[in-house]
Amino acid sequence: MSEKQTVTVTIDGVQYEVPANIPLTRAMRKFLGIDIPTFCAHPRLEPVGACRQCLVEIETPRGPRLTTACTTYTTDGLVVLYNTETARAAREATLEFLLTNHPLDCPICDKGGECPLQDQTLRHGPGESRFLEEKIHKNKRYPISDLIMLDQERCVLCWRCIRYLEEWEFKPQLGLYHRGGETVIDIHPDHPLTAKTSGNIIDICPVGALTNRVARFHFRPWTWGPYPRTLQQVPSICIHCSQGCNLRIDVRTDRVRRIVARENMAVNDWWICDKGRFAQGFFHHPDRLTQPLVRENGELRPASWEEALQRVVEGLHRWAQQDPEAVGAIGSGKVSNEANYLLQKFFRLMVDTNNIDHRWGGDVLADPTGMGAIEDIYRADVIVLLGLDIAEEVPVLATFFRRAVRRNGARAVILHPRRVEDARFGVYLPVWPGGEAIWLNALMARLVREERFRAAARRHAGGQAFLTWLSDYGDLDDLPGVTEETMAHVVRLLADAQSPLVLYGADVVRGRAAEANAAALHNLALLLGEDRVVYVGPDANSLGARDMGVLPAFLPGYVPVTDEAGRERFRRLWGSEVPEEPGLTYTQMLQAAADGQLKALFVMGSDPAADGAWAARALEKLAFLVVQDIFLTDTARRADVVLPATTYAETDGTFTNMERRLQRAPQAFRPIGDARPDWAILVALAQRWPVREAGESRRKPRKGQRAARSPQARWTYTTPQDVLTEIARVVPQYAGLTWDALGTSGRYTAGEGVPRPRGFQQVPPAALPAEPEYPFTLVADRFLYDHGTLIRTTDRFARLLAPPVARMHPEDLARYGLKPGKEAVITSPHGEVTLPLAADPTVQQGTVALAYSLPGAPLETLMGPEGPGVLVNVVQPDAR
Amino acid sequence: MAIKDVYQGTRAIGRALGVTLKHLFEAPVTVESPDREPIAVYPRFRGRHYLRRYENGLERCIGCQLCEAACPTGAIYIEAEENDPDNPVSPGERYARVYEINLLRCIFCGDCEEACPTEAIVLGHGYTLANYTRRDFVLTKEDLLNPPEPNVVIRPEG
Amino acid sequence: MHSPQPERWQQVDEIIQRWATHGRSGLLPCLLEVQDITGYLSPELCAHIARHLRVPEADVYGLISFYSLLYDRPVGRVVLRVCDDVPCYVRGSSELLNALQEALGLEPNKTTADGAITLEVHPCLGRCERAPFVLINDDEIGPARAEDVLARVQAHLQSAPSTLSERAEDPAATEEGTG
Repeated sequence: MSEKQTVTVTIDGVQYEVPANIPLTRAMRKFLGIDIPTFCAHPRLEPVGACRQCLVEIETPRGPRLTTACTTYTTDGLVVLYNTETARAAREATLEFLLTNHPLDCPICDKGGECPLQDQTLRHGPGESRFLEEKIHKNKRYPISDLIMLDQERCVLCWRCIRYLEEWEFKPQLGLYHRGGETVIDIHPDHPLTAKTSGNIIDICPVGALTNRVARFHFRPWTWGPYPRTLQQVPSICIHCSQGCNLRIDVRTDRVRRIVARENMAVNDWWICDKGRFAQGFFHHPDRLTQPLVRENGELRPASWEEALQRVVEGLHRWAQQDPEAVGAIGSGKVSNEANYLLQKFFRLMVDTNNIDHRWGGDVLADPTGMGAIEDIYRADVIVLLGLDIAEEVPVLATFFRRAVRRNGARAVILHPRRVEDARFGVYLPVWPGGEAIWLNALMARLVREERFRAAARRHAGGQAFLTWLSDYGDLDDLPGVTEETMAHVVRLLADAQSPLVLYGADVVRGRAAEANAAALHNLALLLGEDRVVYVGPDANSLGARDMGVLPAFLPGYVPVTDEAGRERFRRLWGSEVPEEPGLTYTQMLQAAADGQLKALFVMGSDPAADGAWAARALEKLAFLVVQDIFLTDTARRADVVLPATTYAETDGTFTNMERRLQRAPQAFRPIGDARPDWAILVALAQRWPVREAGESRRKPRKGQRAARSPQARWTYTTPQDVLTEIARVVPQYAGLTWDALGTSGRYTAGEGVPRPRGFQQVPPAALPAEPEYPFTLVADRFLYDHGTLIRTTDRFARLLAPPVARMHPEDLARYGLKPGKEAVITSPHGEVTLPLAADPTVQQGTVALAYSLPGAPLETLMGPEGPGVLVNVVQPDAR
Repeated sequence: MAIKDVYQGTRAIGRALGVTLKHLFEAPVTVESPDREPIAVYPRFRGRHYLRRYENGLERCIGCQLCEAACPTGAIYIEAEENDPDNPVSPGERYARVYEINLLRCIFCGDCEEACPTEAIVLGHGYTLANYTRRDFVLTKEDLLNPPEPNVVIRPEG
Repeated sequence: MHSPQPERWQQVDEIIQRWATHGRSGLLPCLLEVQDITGYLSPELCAHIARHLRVPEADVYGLISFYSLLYDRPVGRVVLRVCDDVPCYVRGSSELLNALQEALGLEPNKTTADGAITLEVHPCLGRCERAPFVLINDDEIGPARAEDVLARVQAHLQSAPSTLSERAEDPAATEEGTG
């Protein structure tokens, strides 16, 4: 039945046209505006008819019968009696019944003020209680995880939490226990909730049974409105991953009180993940930087803004005049477009260098085409996850993925060096880091046996040559764990797929195998369709930072710095010359610093020292280091000047998510201490930059051009919106996207001009390395609860953070005589770390799995500048 | 006529003077404050606020912020926190970590008293509210929790 | 891996295999049949059954806690269920219960230390016409007198087979799940 079809239903004698085959509660609420009371019915959950609150009379051949409206679907000729004596009495009785055992602790209940039970009792309830008896006592203040508190007395047994975990998470970790009046919702003993989006059950709980342990008692939902000390509800977005979930930050007295999900059907449905919801400690952490620091006699000491800014300008200017190529800047995928745009503009115009990049920037050879739409995942019939641990990296997308598989019948193929959690939703193939291209080529070699793909190949440049070239790459010998059968199965799936979708993570296109992998993904995109192969960046603004030109080889909008016409356009827009040689990438900058070629570095919202011992050593060699951050990171400790920045919630800003949607993150509270927003610091620096005398420019104006004006003249931004306006003018993809145009649900940026595959590339993949000295391959794991400052600062996560261990397959441990639980020395060509070992059957044999961002950065130290796919050796000193 | 007028005038003046003379020998109605304290006030007089405790010493206030919401002048500011079960400040799960009343804003209407579900906040009979600095007009929880008559129980179960 | 009585564990596995294809609707009969052999349903066994029947573990626990004839902790070889609903109460079930308590030295809903007898107070057993009614395992007594009941308990103690619940080991504890 099509959604647009309508039927006529009669409610209390009035005929209405409503969509066919939707629950009656939804029809009455959404389309007819009738306020029918419900508890168990939820627009995003299957109807269950558990609470009996929506009783209406339905006309049947045997007369009117009381029925729950939520389980009655709209059909033609349905006759509903809503406002009759019987129906009203039934609803009132249900409410009275629910209230018999509901405790009257509304004054201390976090739901009070936004509680459906309160509201509906007021509107539909009996008005007064007839019960004098003692209420049934159950568990109050009963933690069901480190993040969620359950109060069984308040529960009205609507099953919403149970259904959410079943229907969205596919992790039924809550159940109903016992019987009658003693029925309770409970976890099973000693199994706390582990679902990564478990916090959503707090939002959908129609009473205060489930409460947020981080925000508990720090807010009152009913104190809203434009009065002092009320709860300000700021519609914002999440900055923890690239999905850009919409959320609401509730602020009172300039402090973040809690974070709840905000509906945006195109991005995050109704949901957010637990990191987005509970990680709010960093906003007001006592360790936040609140004043500028400058280094004096080897120590950092507090300084005034004026002094710090002067020190930065002097330091950068000195090196810029000696050699602009010795100056570099590191932006961040975690800060807003505005800050990133100003950073690259500052360094390109003032310092005259293209050494501008961010972590996961120029080193990651991904096409930032973005997903056509996040909803595409529901339309896909085959979903391939390549090197993407979807549950840990984009948890809300993971729920969509599971639904696509379980409900829409999509088939899933999971390729990952480790048997990740979501491997259970499809075919799992172990693909080792660096072996992705080998696998992809083997896949394509088989795919092109189908005429459909041969035809697709011939439509693009180099297709015929590619087909010939590809015929050499069908071999599976280099792919341990991949058999001819599983391969044939995957080929069959993709060959039959109408709309396949391949999602890949950053580590696939980084490091030694990056070029071969990127080329193979390009080629696959040409075979399957351009928007079918999608890069999922690790940071909230991974795409935005790229769009803003925080890349060594591209100006904003992906204009290559080597493109003369493009540079000319920017010269006109910015009023100054733009350097033309491509600069150094993030890793190259750190390596140049280690070699002593890079002298001065400006780091904004990034912590290169956490990239391992090699990076920390490189930073030590710098002559001048400026760090602009919210915490005194390891990098900041090494800095000559530390500038205190603000979090995204203390200033207006925009972020571009994985589907290239530009979304607003407005200011929620005033900056703490003396901290200033990133964009404002950059503007202040630019205004203090010494005015360049005419003719002093390193580059002479070409014939027919006027000498460019001093670039400072254009730095007149007073608000981030001014910066966004300029971005909309300068970056073609952002044309027309002003602050007001974005609204609260964001707007897509244009895809034109974004680098995308053109013509087949023939990059032969290197064989997987093998060295007897280093028998294991290092696998880099991403955990949602890593040890980053954004999550570590919330105490409730202490026990949930990724364990600082190296994980190996139990059989590997046995074979090499290694003992789990004991410390081992892990060595790679780049370094050596000591960590306890742990047995983990999800880790493939022959690999050692380590998480990113563990304390002391062991993974990053072992990987060195080389990136994923490093070989390591594991030795236990006492075992020898 | 004239004699009658004189007589009546004299009588009126005498009577008025009589009142004056009578009060000349009576004790004064005004009280010298602060030298002659305390002054009896009516039982329902609304003066300085107090936060009450239960007899076992636990605070009555549960930090529900209803008084704050009821306050017509925004004089009350509360920050609630979760009780440590082993070392509770108040019975139940929630207590007020911060409780402040700004007496410069307060109009002593008693709405806070009315709103309080545990009868924790009460307006007492204290009226000597003068002070030297503005900050001293903000009563903190410590100020409010030390009433002259501790543990006044109005109703056994709040 | 399997126990002193491998054939009985095999029985358990057979039952689970038989109901495995039925999913959720096979859960209740499966639990009842398994409990007949094992005496009670240990957490490991529940996890094992949940895996094979592909139902959430929460559902298994929910069902066990819902039905009073399913046990998640060890019970005696002989289970005495004394009805205390209205008709039985009127016909003297509380006196009967007191007498049994005294004779067996047991609190209601407790098991003797040797794991032999469990005394349970039970809601209506559906034999109101024979009140006061007592159920000893599957054996019905009613109208019941204390001495009859005690005699029958002794008879059951002689004949009742020991259940697997007296052993610590359990298949699911050592076996890797295949689900």
